[in-house]
Amino acid sequence: MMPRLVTIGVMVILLSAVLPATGQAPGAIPRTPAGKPNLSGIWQAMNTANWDLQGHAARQGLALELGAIGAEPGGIGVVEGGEIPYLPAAAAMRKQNFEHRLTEDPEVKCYLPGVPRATYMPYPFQIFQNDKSLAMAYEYDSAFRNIYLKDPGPPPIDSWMGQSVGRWQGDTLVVDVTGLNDQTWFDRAGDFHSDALHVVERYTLSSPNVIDYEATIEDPKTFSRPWKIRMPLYRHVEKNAQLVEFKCVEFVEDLLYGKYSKKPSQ
Amino acid sequence: MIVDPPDGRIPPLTPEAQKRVADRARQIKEKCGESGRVCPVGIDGQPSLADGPKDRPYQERCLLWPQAGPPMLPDAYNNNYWIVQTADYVMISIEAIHDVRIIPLDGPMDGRPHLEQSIRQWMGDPRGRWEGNTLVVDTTNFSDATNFRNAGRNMHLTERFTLTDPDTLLYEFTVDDPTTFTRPWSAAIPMVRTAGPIYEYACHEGNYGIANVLSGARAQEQKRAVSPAK
Repeated sequence: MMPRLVTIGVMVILLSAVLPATGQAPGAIPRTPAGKPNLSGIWQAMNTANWDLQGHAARQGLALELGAIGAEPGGIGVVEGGEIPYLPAAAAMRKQNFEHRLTEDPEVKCYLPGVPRATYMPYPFQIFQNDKSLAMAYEYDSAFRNIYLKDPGPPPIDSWMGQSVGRWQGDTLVVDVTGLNDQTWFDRAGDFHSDALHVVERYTLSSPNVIDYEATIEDPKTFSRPWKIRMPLYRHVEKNAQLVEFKCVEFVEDLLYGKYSKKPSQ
Repeated sequence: MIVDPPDGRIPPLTPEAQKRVADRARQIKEKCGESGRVCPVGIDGQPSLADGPKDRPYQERCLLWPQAGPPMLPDAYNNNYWIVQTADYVMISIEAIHDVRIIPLDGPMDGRPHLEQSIRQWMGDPRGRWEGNTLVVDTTNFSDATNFRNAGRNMHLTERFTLTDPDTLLYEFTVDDPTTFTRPWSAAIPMVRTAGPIYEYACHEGNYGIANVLSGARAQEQKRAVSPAK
């Protein structure tokens, strides 16, 4: 028995040696001076939700010139229960959207992505948090959200990124998003919503470098019941990680306005 | 706004920059002199090219407005900023046109270098540090597309943010670009605290203007081709 006790004693000593001066146990989540979980950092989803929220096999893309680059990778899906509960007319619309996704997806036109899509686009985003303010800046199209920590009242007008009001429920940041317009999609597969969309997001640091992200989606004009997506968001731990400009407007001008441009023969 | 040089004038352009500006003006004049091309009159009263979107000013294309800069300058409307400060960053959200400046607070002196030279950005690459009660932001890595009064790629911008009272933020900046200006120059603008909120400025999503300018120019060309001006 003695050797085992000695081993345990050595382990305790080793553990106390790696404990940071703040007294936080290894693996403890970072916190603000007021004790709230500190979500500040650069985050990114690592899944194919932006191609299709629902489980899907890999498939050929619609821009043939892009070959394998334009192919759509398969994924296990992020929708709880697997399927989005569309109302019959909306299911037909979704099918039509899917067929015309090459021209109709707002992402193709570099439009603001809306919520929750901004979260799981294949670009990083950064959270800035202090005890009075919380903001989220997305690399894609410089999209931005102020997460109000004091409810300013109903949004006066619909917008692309909506109005976000955050509150803490224990160690979970709950963000209530309203005032979203009907112009955005949830993914490149044509999943969509109306202007009755109401999103409730939940951000929970499950470990220092992982946010457990959940969004409940409610839109009685489009879905038969509320439904939920869930995924981990991972922290960029590279020492010099930073968002790099992705001002995509200049990349879509030829696509959107080429038809109004002067032809060489004119 | 200009506090240096003492005469309050932007210093003369270098011969190299004067040539750049003159060449550009001559190209526009020559192209607009060609028959079969319509050049709408721009806000400066001069003919402007409208062959395609890339001929048009950045503001019309919803690419970048003067409020974002940098340097960040007031324009006709929506000159609002929202600043969030954390231990490691200062984030400036710019209403027009939903741009964000993310300023890491460990300047070049503290081991976090600027982006490598090959990575160029419209709004450059900022690094911040505290000098007493003043936030000093050093921005380099501007791109060929950057155009601040004819300065661009080689511009080195130093900005200073100082709270002079609880509701006034003094914004000072120094522009240094030896390939454009004959000497560095500086300006100062007080910013006043205002009650929010700031609403979303989705410029590109509703940009009918650019389509109308271009299609208008094509329609006029068509008309001219059918009944040529005398």
